Order: sequence, then C-alpha cells, then structure tokens
Amino acid sequence: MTNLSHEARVVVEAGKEVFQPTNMDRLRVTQALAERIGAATLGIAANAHAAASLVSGNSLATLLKIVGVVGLAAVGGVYYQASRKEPAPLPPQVAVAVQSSSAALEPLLAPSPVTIPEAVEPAASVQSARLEQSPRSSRFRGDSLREEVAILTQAGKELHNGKPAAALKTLDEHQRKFPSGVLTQERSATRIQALCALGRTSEAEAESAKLARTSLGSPQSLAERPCASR
Amino acid sequence: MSGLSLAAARSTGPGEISSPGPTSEVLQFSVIYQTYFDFVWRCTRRLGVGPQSIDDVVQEIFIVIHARLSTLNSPTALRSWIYGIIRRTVLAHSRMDRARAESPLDATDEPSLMPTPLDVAEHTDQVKLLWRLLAELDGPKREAFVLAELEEMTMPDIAQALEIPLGTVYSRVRAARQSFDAALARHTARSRGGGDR
Repeated sequence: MTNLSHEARVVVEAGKEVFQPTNMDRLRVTQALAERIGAATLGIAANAHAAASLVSGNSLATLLKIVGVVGLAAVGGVYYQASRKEPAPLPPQVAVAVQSSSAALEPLLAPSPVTIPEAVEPAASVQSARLEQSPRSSRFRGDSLREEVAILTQAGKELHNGKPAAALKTLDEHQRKFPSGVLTQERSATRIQALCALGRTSEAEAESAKLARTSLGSPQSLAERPCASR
Repeated sequence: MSGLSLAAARSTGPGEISSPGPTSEVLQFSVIYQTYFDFVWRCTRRLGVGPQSIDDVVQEIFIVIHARLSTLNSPTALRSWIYGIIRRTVLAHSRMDRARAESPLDATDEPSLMPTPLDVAEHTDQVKLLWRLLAELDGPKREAFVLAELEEMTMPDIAQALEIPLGTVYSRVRAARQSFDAALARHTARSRGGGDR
C-alpha cells in the first residue's frame, strides 16, 4: 500500500480537526433530538445536580446533563399534570414553551401535548415522589439556560451569516443578562470569532487570553494568536 | 430502551466502540450517541452539508440509527455502519435540496465531500490547500481518501461503509494517495515558480 509523502501528511494532519462540533452544536442538537425521540433514549438524566458540573465540563455526557436540566422545566409540569384529573386551559405562550420540552419526556408520557399553568406549583406529594428538587427552581434554571442557548445560537447564526457586528451585540446582550451564566465560555469563544471577523485582532487576543485563563482546555497557541488560527 | 445485543461493547481506542467481546450486554443508543456524535457531525459537514442544515441532518441521522439499531445483529464495524447511514441521509438531503431548487440531479449522485465557500474562508491556508488538493481527486477517490486519511478508518471498514469490495478500496486509496501527492507536488512547483494563482 502506497503511503503519503511527509509533505502530504502534514497537509492532511491540518484537516483532521476541521469541522469538529462545538459544545453549542452538541447542546443544540441534543436538545432538539430529545424533543423528537425522548430524553431517556438519549440517556439524559433529569438530575437536579447536573448544573453544578456544567461550567468545567466539555463532554457530550455533561451536555446531556444540561439538556436534562433544561428538560426539568417540563418535568415539574408533566408530573403536576399527571396528578390532575382535568387539563387546565393555558395562556398560549406557556403552552408553546412547555409543549416543546415535554416531547423530551415521551417515554414517561401520554402522546398528547402536556400543558400547565405556569403560576401553579406542582402538588407536593408528586414532587417529593418523583423529583429530587423543587420543580419551580428547576423551571427557573431550565428557562434561564434555554434563554442562554437561544441567545448564543442567535449570535452563532449571525456570525455564520457574515454579520459579526450583529453577533457582538447579541453577545453583549448575553453578557448583560447572564454575567455568570452557564455558557460564558461559549460566549467568549463566539466573541473571539466575531472580533477576528471584524479585524479587531488585539481585542480578540485579549478575550482569548481571558478565555485561556478560565478554560483549562484552551491551547496556548490559540490564546496567543486567535485570529491566525482561523 | 433501544439497543442491540452485542457480545460486548468494548473500547478499542479514543471514542471507539467495537464488538464482540466476552460478555453479553446491550449496546444502548445513548452510548452510541455520546460516542459517535462528533464523528457524525464531522462526516456530515465533510460531505458538504452547510451550517444552515447541519442540525437537521445530524438529527435525522441519529433518528435513523435509533430506528435501525434493533436490526443490527452483528455490528463488527459500528463506525462503518454509521457512516453508511450518514452517507445515505446526506444524499437524501442533497436530493431534496436540489428538488426544491428545481436543479438537475448531479450526474454522479455522490456526496461532494467539498466544503462550502464560507467554510473555506474560515480556515487556515493549510486547510485551504488540503481542500484544493482534494478537489483534484475524483469523487470516489476523494471519499476513500478522506475516510482512510482523515478518519483513519481501516480498509475493511471503508469497504463496508461504501459497500464496495475490499480490493477496490485498496486500489482506490492507493490511487488517491498517488494523485494527492502528485497534486501537492504540482502545487509546490507552481508556488516556487510564483505561478500559484
């Protein structure tokens, strides 16, 4: 079998890391897939303690836990709904939000969309029997993470569509709303790309250095010359 | 829970699953999802699916994997089985895109394995050079080359993934490597002569 020349091998090596998914990619797809085939099928644990491991974790396993936390927004409502005799009518915006998350719990549910009144707390007995934490606090955490994902997804789309300035504004919005959010590293990484695209190299380098200090996995070369690596 | 009966799922390398092993267990979809997510994403992008569609296509691929998992009785090369699903799903997606655009079907009806212009603009000179060299290979050689060199799949795995005879894989990869080297030599000569335009 013919082998590649050394020069060709160098070129090939450069291509091996291209098209790797980011954490945001993993999170986005996992969340969407959970809504289609069920969170349990993906091995997502609706675990109240998952959020504690989010910031430092980079693996898909950790991200699956994130989606599990997001899914908790529906869990409380689902169990609450299961404990009721009659479904209550809902404001449309609440119905839409819960319907999308409830699909992730298909293995546990009847196929019809589940809706809950947002202002009503789940029954205490159901809560203690089926959940490890307060559904209300889970819902808040899940809602906040869902919003973080939405904002960063928007920034990513703007960047991909050649609108880095718009992406920066969206990232500013994320920073304003979630200064210590779960996805601050993803925000930094997207900001670096946007700054590079705008030719603001020194700002990109400063952001990259900051990211390298807070993220153990960042290569030093990337921290020093973030725009050169793109 | 979706799964398939395996003699065992054992790790053979970074992020890799293979079988059979000494004990009986069920390989769960969730394990495959976690292990092969990056592979599926990477291959789908390499097969020409752009950022606008990648999420949907990757979801479709995993839904197909989930649906077919119970029919996989002897997954001796899970990665090549998954690649076959990736390839067919991407092709179906491309056909739908072309139908929507009312453009004629590609003569070869093969995955392009080439990046979009936006992808090219985002990457380093070395990566751009890689794509330029890959562009000089014909489609079948390019795909075999990418699987052998970038994904580091074995020849039997490639044969299974592309559903072609093992001998064809060997000859295709050998020819692809020769063509790639020749294309690089031409590029180098042009660069030294200042004619790299």
